Amino acid sequence: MAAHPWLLPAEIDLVKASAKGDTDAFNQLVLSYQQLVYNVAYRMLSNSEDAADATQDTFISAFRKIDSFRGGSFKAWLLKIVANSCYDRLRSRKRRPALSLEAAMDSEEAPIDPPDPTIGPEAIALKREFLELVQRGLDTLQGEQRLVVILSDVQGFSYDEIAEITGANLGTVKSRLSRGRADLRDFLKQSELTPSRFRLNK
Amino acid sequence: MSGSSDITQDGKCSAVEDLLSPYLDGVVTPAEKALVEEHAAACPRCAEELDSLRFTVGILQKLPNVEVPRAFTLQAPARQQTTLFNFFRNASATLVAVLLVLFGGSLYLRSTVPQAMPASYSRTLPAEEPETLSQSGAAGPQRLESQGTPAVKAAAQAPTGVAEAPKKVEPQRALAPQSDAREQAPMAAAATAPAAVDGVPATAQPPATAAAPRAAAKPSPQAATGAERAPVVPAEPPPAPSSPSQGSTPRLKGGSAEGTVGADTAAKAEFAQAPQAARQGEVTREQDARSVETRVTQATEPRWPLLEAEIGVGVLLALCAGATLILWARRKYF
Repeated sequence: MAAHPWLLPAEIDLVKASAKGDTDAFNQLVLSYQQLVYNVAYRMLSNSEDAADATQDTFISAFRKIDSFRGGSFKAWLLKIVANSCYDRLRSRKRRPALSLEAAMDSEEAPIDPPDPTIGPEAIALKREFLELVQRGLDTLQGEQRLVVILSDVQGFSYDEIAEITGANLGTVKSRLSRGRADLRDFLKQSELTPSRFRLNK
Repeated sequence: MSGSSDITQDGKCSAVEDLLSPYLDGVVTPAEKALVEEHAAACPRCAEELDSLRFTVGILQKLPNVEVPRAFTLQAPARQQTTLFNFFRNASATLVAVLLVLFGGSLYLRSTVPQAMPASYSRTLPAEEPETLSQSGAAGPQRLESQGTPAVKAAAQAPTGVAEAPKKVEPQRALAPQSDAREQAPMAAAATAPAAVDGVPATAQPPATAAAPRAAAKPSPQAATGAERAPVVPAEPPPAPSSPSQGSTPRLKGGSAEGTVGADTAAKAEFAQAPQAARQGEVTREQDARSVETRVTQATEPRWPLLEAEIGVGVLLALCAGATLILWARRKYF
């Protein structure tokens, strides 16, 4: 679980310069946050192309709107933009029923960090398959629940941080997270890939 | 626990079920925490719920970080805007410089306009001719008109030698003698080459400096007549209709007839009479000069040169400056 420092002093100058139209300064912010933004988008959309588009849109929009950034957490402000971008894409996906979830998902799990050297290739392959399963499971969740689960468990944000990003109150965050985790757990239970002790059919 | 407590268990289970997730995150009250732990110890179903939930969260936390497929730094849109903005900004600056140069040119040309406006000058001349020419006793207006342009040009050059006579007046005075002088020029040239050369302007000038514009009209052959009339002319500066007719005929005739002879003597006579006539004519001349001057200034009202060019550049500048402003605003407040 990664810790996310909320407001870096060095960022303030970059944000100020960006507000004046300094693209070089803004690009430094881009390089700092693009991994985070892309990952959130990827986990939300289950598709690397869509995630790349959403990420690019997010940074373009952020640069345009950076005048309106009134302080607070730049990270939270940025993530709110990508969240809205992902919601829009999910809504437009629903409007195209021909596109199944399977088609929307990547055929393979996106490239990940160097695989664990301690386990054998079979285990790696199994692991990869399992990770794909988890992503498919995320795809079954409602948009708001999916976002909260990703922010909390995949990215390690606290309830307060999630509340700031989503603009919802703590109670809403709690219930969405609880529901999202439970639904994902139920999905995983149905698969053989899930460890037997958690499976429905033991 | 007995079966009767199943209902309570179910009730508890649902209550605990909602607390499981916050419990895992440690965001429950101590009371809630105790409740969950107690119940989980007693209820296998809820214990299993808690366990599987914990596993799910664990799996999510182990989801690997996905590498970015490329850098998402901004380039094209901003640069494009900057290039366009730069273009219009530079264009505006250049046009400002051009406008200033044109303005400077306008001022310079304006100050030299009076000498450079023969077209309008000759246009106004026929209108003034009857008056001035009658004064100067010049030949028929037709003759003068036909020779107007070259005469004016020569006239423009003629006054340079004369110190007193105002430039604008001179040409008029010189006009008549010039036209006549042209006639006599070949003859005069035959008589005295250098004298004729100098004589042409000289003829023009002494008569010009002579008493009245009328006198100036008389060429060398008419010198005698002119001298005679010189005293008369100052007395009556206003144009007298009779004089032109008087002057024209004899002069014409005299010009052709006495051309050869007259040239020499005329020149001498003229020079002799010049100071006299000059003194006499000075007053009248000045009066006429002023009136002529005003007429001339009115006639050659100098335009503002390069005005069309300045307007064109100004419009272009307004457009470029407007484009620059719009692009600047877009950049800043997108």
